[in-house]
Formats: sequence, structure tokens, C-alpha cells
Amino acid sequence: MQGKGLRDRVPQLTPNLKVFGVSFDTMAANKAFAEKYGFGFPLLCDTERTMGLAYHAADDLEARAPRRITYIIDAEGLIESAEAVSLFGIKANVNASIARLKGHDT
Amino acid sequence: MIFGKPPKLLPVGAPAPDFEVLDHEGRTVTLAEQRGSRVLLWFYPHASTPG
Repeated sequence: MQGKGLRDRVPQLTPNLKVFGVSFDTMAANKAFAEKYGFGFPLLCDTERTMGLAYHAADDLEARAPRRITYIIDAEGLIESAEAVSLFGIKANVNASIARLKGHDT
Repeated sequence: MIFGKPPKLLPVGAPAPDFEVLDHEGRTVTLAEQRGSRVLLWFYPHASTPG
């Protein structure tokens, strides 16, 4: 539910926030995914897994998929928060990230 | 790795690694060009993931 949650709540967030989804999928797969759910943000196609490795979402180039991780990066390019979730904590993960954003802006 | 230990994430305050990657529309996206904006990176397993 994380992607739809982001889609529905991003407009309420600060305009000075850019959201990107990241997976190892092809452009075609991500395009279909974006159109199916109407994500209002770009989906990055990390088919080489360079982002996945750099952000510790994957352990090696053979990884089939990134782990579910949400990072927030501040305006200076520094890590502001990093959260990984189990399959049971997906919703809590994005809600916590959003709550933190809101707190930051008020 | 499904049952492995939790991943060690990048620490808060560390420089976020730059990247240059194509988005789903074929546009090149870099982290450097986002400077001045906050950025949320949402890593998800597969495009077929239920939204």
C-alpha cells in the first residue's frame, strides 16, 4: 500500500519535496505501474542496481529486487532519515516518514 | 536475505550518494539536480507490487 499512500498524501506535503520511486524494473514495467496507479511522481529504473547498492537496498548486483527502504534527503543532499520495513510494517513505514515531514514543516 | 539481519542503512547526516538514472518516461534524473529540494526515495521490490 506504500505507493498509493504516497500518491494520495504527497500533495499535502511541502511543495519543496520531490518524491521518487526506485526499483530494478524496466522502463516499460515501471511505466505500466505508474499508469495503473496514477503515481504523480517519477519511478526510477535502477536496472544496473547502482542506486540499490549505494543506498544499501541491495547487497550485490545479483539482487532480484531492492528491499523496501524509504530515505529522506535534505535540501543540502544529506540523509535526513532512513527507514527499512518488514513486510508487516510497510504502512507504518510510510506513515512515519510522512509524519516526520509534516512535523518538519510546521 | 529474507530472514537475514536487518540491512545497515546509510546513517543520518551522511552525504546521500549521487545517482544518474532513467525514470519511467526515459528522462535522466540525478540527485545533484535536486539540490535545494528535499527528496524522498522510496525503494520498492517490483513494479507489480500491489500499489
